[in-house]
Amino acid sequence: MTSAVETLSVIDAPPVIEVREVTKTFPGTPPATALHPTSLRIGAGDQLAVVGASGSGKSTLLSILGTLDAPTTGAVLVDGMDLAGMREAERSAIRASRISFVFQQFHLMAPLTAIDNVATGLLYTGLSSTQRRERAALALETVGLGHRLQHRPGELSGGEQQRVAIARALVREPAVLFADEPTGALDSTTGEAIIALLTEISDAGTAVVIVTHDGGIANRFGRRIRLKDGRVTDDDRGAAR
Amino acid sequence: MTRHSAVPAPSRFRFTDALRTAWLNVSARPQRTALASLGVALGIASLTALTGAAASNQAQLLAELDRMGANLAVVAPALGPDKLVVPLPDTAPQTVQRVDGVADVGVFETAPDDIPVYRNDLVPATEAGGIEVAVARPDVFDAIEARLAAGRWFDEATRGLPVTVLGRTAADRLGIVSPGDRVWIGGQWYGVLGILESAGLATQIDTAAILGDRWVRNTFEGPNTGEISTMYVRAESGQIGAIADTLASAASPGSPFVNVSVLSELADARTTTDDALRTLGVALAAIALLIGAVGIANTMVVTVLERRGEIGLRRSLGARPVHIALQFVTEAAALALVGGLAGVALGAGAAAVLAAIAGQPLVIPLAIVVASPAIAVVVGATAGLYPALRAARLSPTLALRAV
Repeated sequence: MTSAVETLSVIDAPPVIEVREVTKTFPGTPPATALHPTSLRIGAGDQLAVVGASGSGKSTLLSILGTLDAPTTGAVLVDGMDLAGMREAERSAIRASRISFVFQQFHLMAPLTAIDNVATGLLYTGLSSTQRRERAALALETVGLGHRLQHRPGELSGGEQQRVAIARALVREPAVLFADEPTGALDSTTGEAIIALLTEISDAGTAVVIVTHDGGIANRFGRRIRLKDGRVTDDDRGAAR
Repeated sequence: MTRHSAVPAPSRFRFTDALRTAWLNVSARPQRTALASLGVALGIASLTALTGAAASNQAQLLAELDRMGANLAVVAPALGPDKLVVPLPDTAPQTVQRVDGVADVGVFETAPDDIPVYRNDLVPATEAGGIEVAVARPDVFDAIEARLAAGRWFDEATRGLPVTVLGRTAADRLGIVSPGDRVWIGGQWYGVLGILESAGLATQIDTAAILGDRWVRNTFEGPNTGEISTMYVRAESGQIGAIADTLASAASPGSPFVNVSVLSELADARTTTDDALRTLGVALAAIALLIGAVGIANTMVVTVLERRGEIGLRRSLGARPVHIALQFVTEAAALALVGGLAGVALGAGAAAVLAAIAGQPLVIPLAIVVASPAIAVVVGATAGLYPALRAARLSPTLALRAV
């Protein structure tokens, strides 16, 4: 099955992130295998939706792809570099420069204004606070919140909050943006707009990987992987929509 | 298409950003901050209050003891091998005055022999009342920091007149209540020029009828008239111990026949009292700070649990574990700093109230004001260490979970 995934991988550009035969097993008696051997390549500008029911292993796959978690076995390569031999500081550096996340709960900081929340995306880059805020303002323009710079999360709607979170992800100019159930906390109309924004982002060259249980949303993405019980059961490269 | 061929530059977390983040979290939740920093505030407050009380107490005690004569030394000629008094040189007051730490010198001259003091000429000769005649140069007044209950001290005119200034006890024994009365000294009337307040430890002055030096020199013939009988040497505050040993040789260089006595060992008592207060302050502060540290550690443990999502987010943004640890240590230190600053204010206020109640001058040692925030920061950072390390060990995947 994993070889099938490989053969289906027809992207010519070298992958930004590649996982080879990664598995994840959580200790216990008996040990629980959350992810069976899986291989995957994500290239620049790719659109990928990981679909599956709760407990299917999609969040585990996202953690490994996003370098938040290490696989039990198998290799994770970012820009062709194997993360296995790296120190945590190096993994953090790669995360800081290449990978961004958007979460279901937004994870905005309540006391901070929109622009400061977005600037947080650059907090660990070594840029000065002035530079961070300049770029944050631009990112908020990009997501259509140029008029909400000084609002705090409490003063924004759910959709606006998720846009701020997306701006925080984009401000880092990542190679890959991972979105974990980004519409999970939003109503369907608002969620639709967020999905539209994410596909626009991938059109601009950033790979977007979304994890969702919603097949309708998944269909908006160019490539769809279905997970069940920690295995890829379907890899569909049919046209979006 | 070129690819990054090397690991990018390590992620950074500027210290100013750590401070800003800490302050943000401290200021965003004032109630939590107040509760968490309460222990440290109380610790620093007790340290400041008790150290301040000790210092205020010491300042008052010093002033009081100095006023009572604890800073006085008495230099007097001693008997030579022939059992005769070896007089001090006339220059002794000047040479003693030059000793470092000597504030003032006052000279009593040898009184004429056998001149008893009576209320009037009708009192039987046997009822002298134990009042001694002393002969003072005008500088005595300042040297013993005398205060007048009534009347005046000798001046250039009155030091040559038949007038007397009575010590407190002498005045009481004679029944003199106001200047202008007369007393019968050595078979002659003297006008009472003034009455002194009690001279504290210089008890000889209390029982003396003091005559002007010029009057005595002009009136009485005697082999020792005009010689120095005693010198009262007032040290600058706290210097009495340092100068006591040098006074003898300063008064009469090369001569062993000089008596120097420090009026009181009370000078030592003040240091013991205040050491006790300070020790109490430090002990109370240590206990309160320990409790404060536990309070902050507890708050930070809860904070770390509450903010697992934020920690995951920060890790996803490229923060290294050490950055997470730094953030929480800084936040704990900031909490403690808030407590420390509040504690200094609280403690200073308490010390001020205590001083006001006790009628003491308020003294807060600058060292405590400067050291307290630093102590608080160290306590806070130490207390925050364990929660911070726990936070640093948390998995970045926490951001993916519902919190």
